[in-house]
Amino acid sequence: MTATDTLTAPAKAARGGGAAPQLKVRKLEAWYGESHALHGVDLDVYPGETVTLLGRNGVGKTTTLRAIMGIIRKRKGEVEFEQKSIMRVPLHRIAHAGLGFVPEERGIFASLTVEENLTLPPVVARGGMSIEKIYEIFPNLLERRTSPGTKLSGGEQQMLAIARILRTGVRLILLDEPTEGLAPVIVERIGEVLKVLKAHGVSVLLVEQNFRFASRIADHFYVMDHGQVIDSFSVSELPSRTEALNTALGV
Amino acid sequence: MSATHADTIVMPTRKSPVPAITFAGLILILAILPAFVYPIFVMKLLCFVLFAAAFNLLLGYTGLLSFGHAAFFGGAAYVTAHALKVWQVTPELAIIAGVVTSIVLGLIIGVVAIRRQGIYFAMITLAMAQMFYFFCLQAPFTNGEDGIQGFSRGNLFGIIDLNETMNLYYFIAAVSVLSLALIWRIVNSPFGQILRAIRENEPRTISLGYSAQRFKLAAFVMSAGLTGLAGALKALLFQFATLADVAWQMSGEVILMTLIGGIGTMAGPVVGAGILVGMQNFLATSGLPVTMVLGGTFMICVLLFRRGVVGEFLHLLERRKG
Amino acid sequence: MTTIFGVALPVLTGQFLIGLINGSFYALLSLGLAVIFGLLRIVNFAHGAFYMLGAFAAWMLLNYAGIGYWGALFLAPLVVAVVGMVIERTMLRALYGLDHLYGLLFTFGLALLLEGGFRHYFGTSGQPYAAPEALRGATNIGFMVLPNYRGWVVLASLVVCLGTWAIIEKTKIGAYLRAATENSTLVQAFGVNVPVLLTLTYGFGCALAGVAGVLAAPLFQVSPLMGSNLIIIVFAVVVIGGMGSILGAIVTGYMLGIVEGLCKVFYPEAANIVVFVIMAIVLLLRPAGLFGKDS
Repeated sequence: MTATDTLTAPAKAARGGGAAPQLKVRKLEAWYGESHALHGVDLDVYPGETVTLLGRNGVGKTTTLRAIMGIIRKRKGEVEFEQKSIMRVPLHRIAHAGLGFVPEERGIFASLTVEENLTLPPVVARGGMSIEKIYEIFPNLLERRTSPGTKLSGGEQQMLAIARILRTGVRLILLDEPTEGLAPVIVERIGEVLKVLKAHGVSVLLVEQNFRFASRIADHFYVMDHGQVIDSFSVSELPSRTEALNTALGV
Repeated sequence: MSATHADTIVMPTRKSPVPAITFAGLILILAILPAFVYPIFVMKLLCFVLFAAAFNLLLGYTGLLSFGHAAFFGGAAYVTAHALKVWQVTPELAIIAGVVTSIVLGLIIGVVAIRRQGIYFAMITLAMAQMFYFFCLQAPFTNGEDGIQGFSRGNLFGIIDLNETMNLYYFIAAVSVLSLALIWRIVNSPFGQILRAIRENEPRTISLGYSAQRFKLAAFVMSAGLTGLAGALKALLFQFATLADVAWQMSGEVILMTLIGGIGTMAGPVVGAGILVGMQNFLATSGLPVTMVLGGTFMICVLLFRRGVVGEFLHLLERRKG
Repeated sequence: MTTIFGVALPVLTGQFLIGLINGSFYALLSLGLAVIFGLLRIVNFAHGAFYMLGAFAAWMLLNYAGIGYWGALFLAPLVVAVVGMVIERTMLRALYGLDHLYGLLFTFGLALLLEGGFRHYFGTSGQPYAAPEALRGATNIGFMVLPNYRGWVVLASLVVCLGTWAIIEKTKIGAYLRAATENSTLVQAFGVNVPVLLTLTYGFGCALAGVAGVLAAPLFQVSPLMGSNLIIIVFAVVVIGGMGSILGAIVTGYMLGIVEGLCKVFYPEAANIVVFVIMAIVLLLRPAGLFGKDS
């Protein structure tokens, strides 16, 4: 069976349509040591959706992703993935539930070659992309497959960071600031990659500072402040919200 | 892992509320103790209390774990013994010679070791001390495996005969109390505050304009000198100096004393030295394997008891206060 | 007779060989330390004790179970690995996330416990352990007569060191290990069972010490304290090489063994301390060590 056989058609945004959310977060709190970073975050991601967390620096967007993933262990509240609680699942079992994570700093390993980086995350479910397919989409990774991962440019590293999660067959990806510090041309490329993800039916929970970028690919938005979600709206409401958002985000 | 556990090897220092009373009490206890306990045992204890306190000056207040303090302890013991036996100087001069030796050794080892931090610092001090051990093993004046022994303690300042047990007792007690007071003074001085600042956050201290390396070296040399004083007193007390004083096991013992008592507390080394010396005295006659018990104690302390006796006590007190 | 710098050639090659043998042990032991430190961030003070344990395991296998050298070469490291893994699972694990110095102190206590225990039951005098039949005798290799067992030790340690290097650099499990050394949380978030990886790595590092112990058994006597001074020299080797590099640990190990051996020829008084002197010089000139990246 090839990867493309199992692809589902891009799910229509199921919000309000009665379907259960794929990822359901309720009253999520988290701490860094003594400091209370999240004060009860509520959000949903429905199958096939791309959902973006907006907010200024330091309001807890990255922390939310890390707390959902279980990288921050000191947390409270409820996280359900596909109707099962993952709060008590050990970190190394989370990915096997179907959840993938691309950290803000990309996490490309210097002591591993590009190909080793690509094949490092274990395949957790069927339906992931094959290596051949990945090299087809990202030809420069094929070209540089034997060089150390960190010798790639920033944009290539980001591609690699996303590509290696595509391989694993996870059904939802937590993606932290993929466009940070990248040239517009590269940002464009990453936008295309996210559309490919969508076409494959993979859901994405995206943290993004680049609002223009996010507005082009997301189906739904959450706005965060002070460790909480303060607003939520769908892409169709975006035009009427732009002004209020600009104030909230301090653009 | 409970967040209430100490996550770093050093604990915040707590100012003793009534240091003057504490020291007065210590002097009083030392004055009447010989009526109840063998003076020799108390003197041995005092030597190790001083050793542990000097070591804690470095670990507890500067955050540097030295695994090579036996070099200073044993080095000073050798020189003091040699000075008494061969040069036949008065005991105070012999002790000064021992202390100067350990200060010089502290400078040499310190300059090399402070170039790295943390575990590397520990490994480097261990290796440098081992080098000194091999030097002592081969140098003719140490008499190899036999050590230096069979000398008179001589007369303090040429007048007070230290071969009289009680004379020796009051001398060692006085020197120990003065040294502990000195350590207390160092810890609570501006210099001590800078050391603690380095321990907490070295880059920040540097950005404030302090040369962290120089302060660390100064602390290292002071600790070495005071350790040397402990070693010199021990040589004077037992009238011998051997390879055991410079061996790495001795460095391990002082770490254990400080750990059991409570790293970074003033009273910790006193309590820790008491427990360990008492334990060794007990084990020596019990037929149990001493090293094995020490090793097990070490493991238990690290796993369950990282604050040490005094540290746990203070922690309990603080929690009770709310 | 040929002489170099006024030293007879056989003397020189003899000491060179002794240096190479010591270097083999330094390399095996510092390799194990580097592998463990890389992932667990624990300086394994008990490494010398595990080396002793390997030698004793071989001796016990022979005397209590009748299993000879070749069986022991495989079984003794396994025994050491199992002991190491049990300790990691039950105790060492509790120290992750604390100051690294606690790991050093704990394993120091473990070393005292193991060495003290064996000394209590076996005394300080060593137990003899014969080299296997096939490796007795000596071979004339032209410029010197090489005792077969010594040649075997050098060869075996080289194979084990290079094999370990290949596993780490060229295999999937090696890639996990390298990646987890850089960022274990992320590797775990990818779905790799890092806690098990930590246990296996500690066991593997201890097994390397066990291999060294079996190799050493016929050369030196099997004694409780055989590892206690060795570990300090190996620490110095590790400081010289810098802990970051696997290959660095191997190369530095052999190099310092040879330097030490040659020092015995030219300046025997300093042979015991030459490694420490080199350590001091390296630290003054290049604090991160010869192969170290961090500082």
